[in-house]
Amino acid sequence: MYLFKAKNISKRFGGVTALSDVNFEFSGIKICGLVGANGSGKTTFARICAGIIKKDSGIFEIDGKNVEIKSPHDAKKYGIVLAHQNLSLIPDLTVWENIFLGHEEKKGRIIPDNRNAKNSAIKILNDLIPGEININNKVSSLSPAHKQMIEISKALSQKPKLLILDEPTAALEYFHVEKLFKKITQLKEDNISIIFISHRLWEITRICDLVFVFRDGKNTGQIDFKEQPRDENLIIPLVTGTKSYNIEFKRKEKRNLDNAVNMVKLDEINYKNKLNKINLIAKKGEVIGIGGLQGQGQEELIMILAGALLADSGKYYLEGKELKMHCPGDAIKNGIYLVPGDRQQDGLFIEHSILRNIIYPRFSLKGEKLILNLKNLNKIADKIIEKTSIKPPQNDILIKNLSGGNQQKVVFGRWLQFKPKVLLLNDPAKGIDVGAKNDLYRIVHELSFNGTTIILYASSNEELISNCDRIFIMFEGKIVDEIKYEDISDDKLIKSSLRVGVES
Amino acid sequence: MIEKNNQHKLTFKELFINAYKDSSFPSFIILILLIIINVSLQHNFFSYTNVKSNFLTFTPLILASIAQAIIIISGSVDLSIGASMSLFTVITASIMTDSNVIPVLILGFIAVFIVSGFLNGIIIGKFNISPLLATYGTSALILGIAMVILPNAGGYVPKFFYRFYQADILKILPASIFILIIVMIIWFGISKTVTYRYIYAIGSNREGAYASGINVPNVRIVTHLIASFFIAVAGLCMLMATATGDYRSGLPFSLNSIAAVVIGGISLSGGKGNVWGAVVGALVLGLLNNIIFFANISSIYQIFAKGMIIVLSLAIAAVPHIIKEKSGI
Repeated sequence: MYLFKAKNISKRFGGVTALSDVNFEFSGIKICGLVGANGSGKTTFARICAGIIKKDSGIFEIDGKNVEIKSPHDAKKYGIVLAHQNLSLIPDLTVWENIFLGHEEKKGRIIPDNRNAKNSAIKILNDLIPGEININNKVSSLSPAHKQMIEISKALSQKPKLLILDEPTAALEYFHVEKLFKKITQLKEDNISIIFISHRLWEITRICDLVFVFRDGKNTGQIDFKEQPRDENLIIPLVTGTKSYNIEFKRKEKRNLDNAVNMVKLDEINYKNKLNKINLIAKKGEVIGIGGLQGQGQEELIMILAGALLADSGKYYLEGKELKMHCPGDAIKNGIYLVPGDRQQDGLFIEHSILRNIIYPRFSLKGEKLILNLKNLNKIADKIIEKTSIKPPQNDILIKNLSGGNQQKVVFGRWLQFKPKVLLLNDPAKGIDVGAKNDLYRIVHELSFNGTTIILYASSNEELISNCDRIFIMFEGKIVDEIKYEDISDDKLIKSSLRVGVES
Repeated sequence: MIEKNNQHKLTFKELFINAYKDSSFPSFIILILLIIINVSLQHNFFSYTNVKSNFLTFTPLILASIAQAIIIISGSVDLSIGASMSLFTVITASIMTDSNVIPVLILGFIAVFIVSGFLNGIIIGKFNISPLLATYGTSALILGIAMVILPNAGGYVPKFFYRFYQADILKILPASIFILIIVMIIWFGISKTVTYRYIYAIGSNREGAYASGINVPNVRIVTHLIASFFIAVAGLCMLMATATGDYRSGLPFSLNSIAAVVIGGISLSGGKGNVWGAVVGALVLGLLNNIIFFANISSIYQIFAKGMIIVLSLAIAAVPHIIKEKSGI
């Protein structure tokens, strides 16, 4: 019987404790869930198991034997393989080269057996996502969802005994998640144990045999679904430490915005084959949701509003005046601010401090002095940190040392120093925990009551439902539906997204 | 039949599009343009003797650029290539006699292997020092050693040995091109190994390569070792072309090889482009000198003209990137 034990694992990064005395034990072939808020140490734990980073203390036991894991190679030797959260892929290599990178089958010592690798890659991919990817394409040309699937294929190709999946579903769409779950259950039948990390509790309760919960680098509990019911509400208190978190997630109340002025107006916006005659009016203080299946042009629309993409034709009005956009700086000058989808790449300077990240946008504003008033800027930064409850509350911490949720708070918070007329949110809660999510949306509400127009694209319907005054549904580059406050419901959103009842 | 969907043969049109998208495509266009200009200035451009005399001067830079390309693709850079080439000429010329040519050449290769390959590789790979700084340092170090060995240009190179470089193989192939062909065959062999793939991997995403279980420090060392072979051959060709050992002779090659690599469409940030691009880039630089010579440009303007053309070439090489950006891929 398979036996995995990680005992008293601890890890510190500089002055920050990432894991302290964490235990993770199971026996038999199991699908183990691992949940926790951002920064709770899940990924650190996964990476220690896979030998990517070294633990400070603690021991691993497999089948009752002590094992040392010091490198990815060691981990592989003991059958532990981690499917990374989009870290280990080489963008300039092809799909099949990536799948076998580092563990190529060879003819002799250094000549790779390419034909064999291609065939195996095809087999693995056909098993997971048949017919979706050409294995000769470069990875850089793939969508995030497909990259994630390549990561998983890469892990599978190493024939693991224990497969660790680090938030595999964060980048996946619904039908891909289903395919992955089918594969996971099939792997279990093939005698492979799985550690499944996710933020989405319904996924955990659906496929896992037991679940471990981390908070602030410590175990807070584990639930064996053999003994206890598959109920998300049992897990939530272990994740958040309080029982009341979910209560904040109720719908906002209806607001009367009939008399409000039009803040944003789009007139027949076209962009390549991605956007087709987009007309949209957003009132002052309104929270507009952009919904629909993923990849129907929502992100392009947000990027055009932010000046990051330039429309091929059409007009863009702000408070009745036409805007001529050339670059994101133009949007910022007009009080239109963006929280981009990929915070690390497009939203932050991760090697720089919170303070610096907060003050950079000031440089594109007119009238900003050439010599900075640091005292004043420090005050501004501290105020933002307080308002968004960034942890730890020190403005000189480097962004890369913050957890995902706190990073997002910096991206978001830096616009609070100005009076945003329009705030564009591109899937702001992607990959952040419940606590941070609630903090963010609390501020969104405050802003909207103070007259900021919010345009929100979110991949989860829950966020749209609980926050929006009105939702536009996009499909193949068009706005196909407008759902008024009274009609907003999960059912309505899904039906409208899938074009149920519409003749195509 | 689904397998067909995952891996179909490329059609002619796709091949053309792929060639157009290839990072070395602009450098090919520049090369063809330069050849046209060159032919119009120099009517015997394609004659056997002219091709031969051109390659006598081009070959060392082509080889140095191949070495630089391998290193830059791995996400590193080598400013000491020129110094290592000098070291090769100095070591060999200072002790060569009519009877010990082969052992002395082997010694030269070993010396370049150690200083250019091992030393750079270990400083960069094991100690993780920025390649720019590391090789700036080793460049001075190697140059210093070369200067001590042979303070004044000279030494002895046997006639039969340097004459080989100007000889013809089977009366139809200049020896310099023969050497190039041998080297390219060797490179072709290297490009079939996993190591070659790892070099791209560490240049493109080092963290990812490590997470994939690749021994990153070792691959970086091996990269510099492989490159040092080509550097030594470059030094050998230079020795035969000049028939002297001179610690200054290699110096321009460090920066020229980087220029050739960039013109050849290889990204300085690593992981992109291919070594053949560097060969084209080196040919472009070589032809430039030709054109400036034959166009009768007053010597006062020669450097200016050369600078102009290099900047223009780099601008043309950047065009596909700009197109890509605009089309938002």
